[in-house]
Amino acid sequence: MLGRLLDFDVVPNGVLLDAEGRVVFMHLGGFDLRRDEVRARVEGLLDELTDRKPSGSTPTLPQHGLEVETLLTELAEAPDDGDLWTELAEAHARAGDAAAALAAYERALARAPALGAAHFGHGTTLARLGRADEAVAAWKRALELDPANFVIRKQIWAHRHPEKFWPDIDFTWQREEMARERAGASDLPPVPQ
Amino acid sequence: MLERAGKLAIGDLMPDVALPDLDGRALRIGDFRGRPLLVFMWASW
Repeated sequence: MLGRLLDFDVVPNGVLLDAEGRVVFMHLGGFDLRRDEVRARVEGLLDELTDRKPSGSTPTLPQHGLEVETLLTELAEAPDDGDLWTELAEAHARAGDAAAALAAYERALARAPALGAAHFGHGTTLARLGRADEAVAAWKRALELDPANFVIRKQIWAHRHPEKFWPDIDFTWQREEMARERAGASDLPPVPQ
Repeated sequence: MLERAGKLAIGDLMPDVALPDLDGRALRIGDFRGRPLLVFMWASW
């Protein structure tokens, strides 16, 4: 149900609601609170929301524009920094601007073609734009860089074989597929032994 | 049952849907009104 509501077909995702139930933050695909920048972002927003009056006031939305502006300022000083372009892409993606995210991911990858996180985010953004074949190609590149990453592998599976994931997850199929990929009988990078 | 609400965006109100928690108990989004709520969606596959 939430997949239809939020128009996502990948996980993990995080959505933060304010006290009135209004969406103040969405991170679709790759949401990981173990990452310092993600945790800091969520904690900062929670701090703001905790101070906010829950009723009768118009919610103050996160300043995505300010975040983007800050990153652009940093990029002006370091225009070839692939990590910064990736951060900018992720900021655009969080704000729901897939087109801007895509452009920033492409710039990141032009500067840092071995940046797995950028390939993964690039794929997620392409998937959101309905460009499934290109999304899988991007995830394959991410997987080549990090063949033990099960999350990337599963995103590819889910796009190629949605019937194995919805409405029910076919774990038997997953085990069989994993065995095939361990044996190298797949176009995906082999699962490390 | 909500069939299709389209894509939510920043600033939109989350519809008051009910979802099962890890123990199978139904939790309603609206039950958390009055305090911030972080909804974390993941899969065990």
